[in-house]
Amino acid sequence: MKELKPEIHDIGKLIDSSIIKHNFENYPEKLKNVPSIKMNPIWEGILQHHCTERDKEYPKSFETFVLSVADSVAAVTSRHYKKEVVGHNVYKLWNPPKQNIRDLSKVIGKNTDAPQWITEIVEFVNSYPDTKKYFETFGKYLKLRTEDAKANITSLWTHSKLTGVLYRFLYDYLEQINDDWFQNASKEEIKERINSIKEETKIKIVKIKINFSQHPVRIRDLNIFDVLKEVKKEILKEYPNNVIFVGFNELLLILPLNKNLEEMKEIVSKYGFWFEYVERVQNLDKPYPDPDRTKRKIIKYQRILQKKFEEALKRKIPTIPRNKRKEAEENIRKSIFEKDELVKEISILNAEYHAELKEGLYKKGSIYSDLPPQINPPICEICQLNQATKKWIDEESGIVEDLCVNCFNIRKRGSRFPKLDEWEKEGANRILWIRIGLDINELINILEDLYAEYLRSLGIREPEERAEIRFSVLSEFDWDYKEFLKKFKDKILETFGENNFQQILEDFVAVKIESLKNVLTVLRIFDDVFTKFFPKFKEIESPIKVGIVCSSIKYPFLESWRILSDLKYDIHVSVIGKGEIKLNLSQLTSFLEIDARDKALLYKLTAVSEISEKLAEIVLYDRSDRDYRKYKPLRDAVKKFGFQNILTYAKIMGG
Amino acid sequence: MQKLWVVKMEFLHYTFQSETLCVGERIKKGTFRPTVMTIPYTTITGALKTHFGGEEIHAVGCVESYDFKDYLTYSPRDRKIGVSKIPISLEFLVNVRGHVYILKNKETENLPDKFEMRIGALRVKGLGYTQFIKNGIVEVDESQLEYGELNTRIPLEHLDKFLIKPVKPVFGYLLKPISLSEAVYVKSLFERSEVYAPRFLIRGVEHGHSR
Repeated sequence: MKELKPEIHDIGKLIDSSIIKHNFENYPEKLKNVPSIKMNPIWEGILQHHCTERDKEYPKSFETFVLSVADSVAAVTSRHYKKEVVGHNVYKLWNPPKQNIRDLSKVIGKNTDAPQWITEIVEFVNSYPDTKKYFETFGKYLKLRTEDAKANITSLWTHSKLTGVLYRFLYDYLEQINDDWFQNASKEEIKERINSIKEETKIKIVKIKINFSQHPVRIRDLNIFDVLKEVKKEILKEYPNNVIFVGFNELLLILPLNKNLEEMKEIVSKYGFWFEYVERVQNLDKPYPDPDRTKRKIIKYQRILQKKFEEALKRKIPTIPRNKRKEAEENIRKSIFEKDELVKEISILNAEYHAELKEGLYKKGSIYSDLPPQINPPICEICQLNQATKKWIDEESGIVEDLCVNCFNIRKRGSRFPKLDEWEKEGANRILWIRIGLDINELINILEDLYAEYLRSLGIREPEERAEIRFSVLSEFDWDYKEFLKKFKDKILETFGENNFQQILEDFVAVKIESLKNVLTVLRIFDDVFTKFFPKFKEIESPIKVGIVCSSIKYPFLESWRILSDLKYDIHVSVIGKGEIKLNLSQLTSFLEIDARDKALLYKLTAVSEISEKLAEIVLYDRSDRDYRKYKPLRDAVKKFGFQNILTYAKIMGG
Repeated sequence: MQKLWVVKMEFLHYTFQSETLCVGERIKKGTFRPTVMTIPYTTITGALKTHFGGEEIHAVGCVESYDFKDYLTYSPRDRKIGVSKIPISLEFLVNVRGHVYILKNKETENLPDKFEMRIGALRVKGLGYTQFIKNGIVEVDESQLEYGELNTRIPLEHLDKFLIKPVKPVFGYLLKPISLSEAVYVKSLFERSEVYAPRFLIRGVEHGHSR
């Protein structure tokens, strides 16, 4: 394979296109005092990666032919929605810019039509650099410039990386075409062949989710997350040209039809992990990122129906006499779950889903290591999938646990939380476990809606039909998500100090706290950072959730982990022994602004609730209570956020 | 070759209520023992066999609702050495309502319409007292299977008795007694497996379509 460095193919997009076309075919045009092109494989890729009527140049070798296919598969969209430029800056669906900027120079902060800048780029390519150097030198501009100014939702950085992965995958997968054919073929014939390859080549898009049967019982068992990282690294090493997206425990891969997932079993099951997968056979020209999209859409529509039902109940039931409410509820249920227009849509999707499953176009399953039909006791107490052959003796308590070799070795790696012992010795009272979770399916649903909204704002017809979320958008999001996690972690560290902070995972930290009010401090930090990174999610729904468990330092970690590992609410705070707060992200800012300055009042409410929570609710609304008027801000808050949330808030504020 | 017959099964549907119920999860760490949130085949089948006698009893169950979780701390005594061990905190569900489905056959067809027995863990401490009331009989044939997430735990060797066909299995092991004093762990399908199965074994569907 000639080293044409596919990632560099769009470097010309950093130059004003009214001066030089991004494939450089008109270079140097009227420019004077600029270096000439010293032909090398990178230049071949730049010049020949398009095959359209507009362009003079076209692929003249198998390498540039494959690059052309990879470039269009990696593109954010296969259809150009607008004829004119929308903007050269990236419109992040979750954090849109104030306006679209058409002037490229303004976007990247360089004079993009100046000969010096063009010279810098040409000399760089002439030096035949490696890909790493390309991203080091031009990375910051690639992140600012959109991949396609007509559909500006991803950056050139993401597109370049993705094109590289797809190029290497397709180079091995597509049938070789020899140079003689290119010498004799016309541009039209080459274009036709590219199109027929995109339409006829079948690929498998596979989403795998790595699971572990190990329940982290002790802090030490959190080592499984290290192992998970290692497993992901190993997969990336084994499948360098196939992995398109890597999440916390999910990976998205593009695979040849004949590639068997059993091969991945060896890597994953080495540590007692298992994985579930969904795979779909797709045409190369329709590489949606989500092989499970039919099922995802069914769930999405079912949720919409449920929401409609709950809203209708809230709206209508209070106006109906008590004795007729049951009948009314049933009628509402029928009108929504049987007659709503989405019901028909769901049944069509369901039929499609089962037909595809039956035909084998769509497959799903789970792959485990070879599990025996039966195990003689003892069974491993952590994973419960293997016979326990090792004994773990806790030095402090003397408790003996029966473990299998895998789990024993994972636990033996040492503690991920060295500060916990220190904190216990210091007699620390409370600890906060903070975890941020991301639901990929929900993310795609929300991004689809936001994309449709954006297309609508540009005046594009049938926006819902066109709002496909492809690989590139997910990669782009991933990049921001990691930044967000880092920023959140840094802020927590800055607020609580090194001695009171322990990072366990990228998205999981622990903090030693003195006062329950620190829970609200963490929520404020989260709210600030989240608003900076994902303001759009606050307006609709959020695929990102935060869980905070506030417990005594001796409280069983297993119980805290149960809450944190399966986050169901945008904001879920559990103050053990006191209560819970469950909020939507759209409620968070106003929740943190509740006017509750009268501490004595909060203390009184908390004290009453210890006798009976119902009694506390009665006190709040009791007109004869001497504090009735003072309770007004809390009563207003109860209307907005519900009594349980406010009671927990009062307990936190009351100490 | 096309099948010439359709497998048909009948199940006795009981609803149950229990004030306190703990089906001990195996996770331990010695000091904390959470409860399973469903009624596994082995738990309910074992209890029915002990209560009524008989060999060919096959049943599964699921929890429909409960009021809250509570905890009991006790210190089990090691009878061999005569001392108490470190205290264990045991999780249990309070005011549990659920459903049990028993395969109808000669041994089970005449089970009473109402009965009470103890199920789950720590029965000697007063947990698990449960009342069962027959709701009817459910008929299922292979053409009526539904797709969704399984709501119970069941050994692979008994899947056919409940017409369960796994698509995306979640495996685990259930303890199966092989004599009065011995037991082995058998490979089983756990809740959240994606399956084709009778409607009543699918998570989230309403129960009560019995005749």
